[in-house]
Amino acid sequence: MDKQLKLHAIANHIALILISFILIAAFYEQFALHELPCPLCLLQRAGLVALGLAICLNLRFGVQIPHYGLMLLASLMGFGIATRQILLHITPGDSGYGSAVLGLHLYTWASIFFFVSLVFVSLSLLVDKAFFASNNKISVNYFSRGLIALFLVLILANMLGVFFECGIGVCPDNPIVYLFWGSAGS
Amino acid sequence: MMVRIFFIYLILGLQIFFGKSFWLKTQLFIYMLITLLWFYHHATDQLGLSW
Repeated sequence: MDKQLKLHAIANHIALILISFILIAAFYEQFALHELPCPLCLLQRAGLVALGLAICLNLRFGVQIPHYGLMLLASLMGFGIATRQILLHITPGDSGYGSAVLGLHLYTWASIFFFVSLVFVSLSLLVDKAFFASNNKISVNYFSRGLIALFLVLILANMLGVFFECGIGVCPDNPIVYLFWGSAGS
Repeated sequence: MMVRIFFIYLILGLQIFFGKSFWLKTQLFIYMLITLLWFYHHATDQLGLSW
């Protein structure tokens, strides 16, 4: 494989692993620490899912400029949503939503992550020989397929989690109980 | 509504996993627009504004 294509392959795999880890960590916050996600939290998860799917497009169909364009749009979307949540809680005296991790709330970490992903995707577009190679396909082995499958399981888990939290309607701004269980699980 | 949003992303993910190519980039773009529209609705709803 061309060196630049290899670089794209490694970066895309690492990015998808990182996004999967973030989604798993969000589930840990939800189920172990009993902090139900608010509507904006769910929208940020959707932003991560959109970003991950754009990465899956690269892994499955080869590195293409439009895939990176979609990653930029997904990152911008996630950044906007996370920043809105920061601004909602920025006034002095506001304790924010949910508990802090290493001093920052999850939506602040999300905002940082989406911003960093904007930078990395932009840098990836500079490594452009891979886009014009005769074979721009990343070899899709069992590891890649397994990674994509894990990501799909996380999307399904998010869908089911939201269903149990809010049904098919609108989620409450400050959820404290699951719609179908009547408790946060604590 | 979020259930539906995750559902359409899941369907797209399955299409990608099985290598079926049905305008996947366009689908992802449209689904992101839907997500943004829902975000806008939520934001304006919180502020007490109407469409």
